[in-house]
Amino acid sequence: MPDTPQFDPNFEDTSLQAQFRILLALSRALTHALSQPATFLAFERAKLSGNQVVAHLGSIVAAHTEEGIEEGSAIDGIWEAAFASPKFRNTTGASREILEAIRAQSLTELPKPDAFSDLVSANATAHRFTKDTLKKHGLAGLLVAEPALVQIFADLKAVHFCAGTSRIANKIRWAYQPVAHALEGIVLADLVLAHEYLSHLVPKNSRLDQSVREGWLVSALRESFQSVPAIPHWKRALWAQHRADLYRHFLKVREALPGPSSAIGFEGFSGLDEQAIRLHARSTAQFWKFTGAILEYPESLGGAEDIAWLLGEVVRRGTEGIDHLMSLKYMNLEDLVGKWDP
Amino acid sequence: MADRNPFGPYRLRRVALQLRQFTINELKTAAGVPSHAVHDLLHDLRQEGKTLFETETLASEGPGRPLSRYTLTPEGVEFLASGNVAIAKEFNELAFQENPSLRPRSIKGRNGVVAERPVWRVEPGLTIKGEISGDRDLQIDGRVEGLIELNLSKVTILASAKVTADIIAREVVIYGSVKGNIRASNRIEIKKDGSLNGDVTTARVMIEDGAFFKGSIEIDKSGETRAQDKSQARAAGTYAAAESH
Repeated sequence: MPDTPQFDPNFEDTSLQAQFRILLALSRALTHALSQPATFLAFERAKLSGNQVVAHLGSIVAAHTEEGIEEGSAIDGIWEAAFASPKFRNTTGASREILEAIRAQSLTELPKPDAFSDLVSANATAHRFTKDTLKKHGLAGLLVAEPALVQIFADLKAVHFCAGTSRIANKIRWAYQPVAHALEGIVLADLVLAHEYLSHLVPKNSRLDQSVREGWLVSALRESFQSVPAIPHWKRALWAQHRADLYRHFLKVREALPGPSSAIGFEGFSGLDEQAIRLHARSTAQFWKFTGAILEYPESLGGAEDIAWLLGEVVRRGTEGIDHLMSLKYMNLEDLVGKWDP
Repeated sequence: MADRNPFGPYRLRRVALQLRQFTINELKTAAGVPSHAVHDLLHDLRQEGKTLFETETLASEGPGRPLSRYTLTPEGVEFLASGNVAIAKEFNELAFQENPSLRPRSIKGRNGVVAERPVWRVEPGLTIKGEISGDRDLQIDGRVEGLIELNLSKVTILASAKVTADIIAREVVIYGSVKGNIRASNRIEIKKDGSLNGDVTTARVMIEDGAFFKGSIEIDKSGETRAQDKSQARAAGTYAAAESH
């Protein structure tokens, strides 16, 4: 596996790389600080949270990027703006010290030559996590043995999803977007990439829709990392915020396009996440039997439509839908679609 | 719906489920709501008379409220999730009505189960002048002028649609504007903001608050039974065709 991600030709511009390096430096410093137990209490007492700090810094970086960042030294201006802002200006005591420490560490991290390798190590972590999760439920064969290649491309208008995958090339394309939630994405790179594996590289059927990829399988990922001690609480909280930020961004992008926009266009049917949580809470084994059947369903447009219909029914039928999934000894999707009373 | 603006509380409960364990500050930030919304949620959960969450005091020194972390119990997870699913169904229906192409369809109709009926659509920007007939359901999001004769089918006129036509169908649902007489063997619904200028003959009629209707209503239940018989006969034919392959 290469030490650094591949760069798309449109990301060769050194000023774009400098902008990305700032995000990586901030991400390293934030990750270090947020992983300290003392940080949580200090921020809480200051009515701050890790989520707020990451989101606030991200928005300041995005604002500076709009004005034009040519090189990494712009990080000084970013921190000046951060400490001049109302959110950070009035911090005192321990929370102030932590913010100062994050600033100091980010300045130290910035010139390090290995910054981009963070995406490669996040990718290895994501691949390992996905593999371990699938293995636990007898689905390990669905994941390619080696991590996918990660390629960064510039999406300066931020019209694409933050990452995309090619199953044929076994490649994940990471979009560099000058938006406020880009910093969250880098801090959460291992989870974002794990989502790319579970939702986009693992399923056999390439025609699956949003309800499966951005709905049910995102829930499956989150329910899996809820119980992994290596994924700390602050990261799980940031993930919830990041998904909400992506949704808001999706709505903003959709506004410029014809046709109505709704949550369904972003993450599939409303209520799917709740039904996934309920099924998982009742039986992890049954949840993965159902999820495994979706992941293993062969390539077929009709099959993809059936699965979307099935998920719609799982929501529509509420408790009865969960009871029915719990009652099944064998999870054959064709039977489930065909025999579920209309 | 129970709430005047249910999306905010829905989102908050959903993020609470996603986090499972949270402080007030964490939940309000992740959900993008003010602190009082989180306090209200905890208050509501306390009122249920069950232990839906547990409270852990993290720090109590210093001024102000003690800092607490809340953890949903399994009962709390089920309570919030089941409540949200009920609301989610309504969100989905609204989204499907706004954009019918989002509605999931199982197209195969395997093992004797009736597949959802195929639907014809008149897309926004499209105008049809003349006569529409056949056996599929019809959703109109554009303009139609003339005659719509779909005796056994459901015709839905969406919010931005304009129809100047007589309609003969099993069921007619109006979110947009219709000028013309309607005969529906089963029922006619005029939704809020929908408009009908014409006479109707049907077994059942429902006119929501805010809808516009000018014309006469004749209740005729005889067609309901005939249409049902024909529909059942047609469905039986579909099964036979599907099983013969």
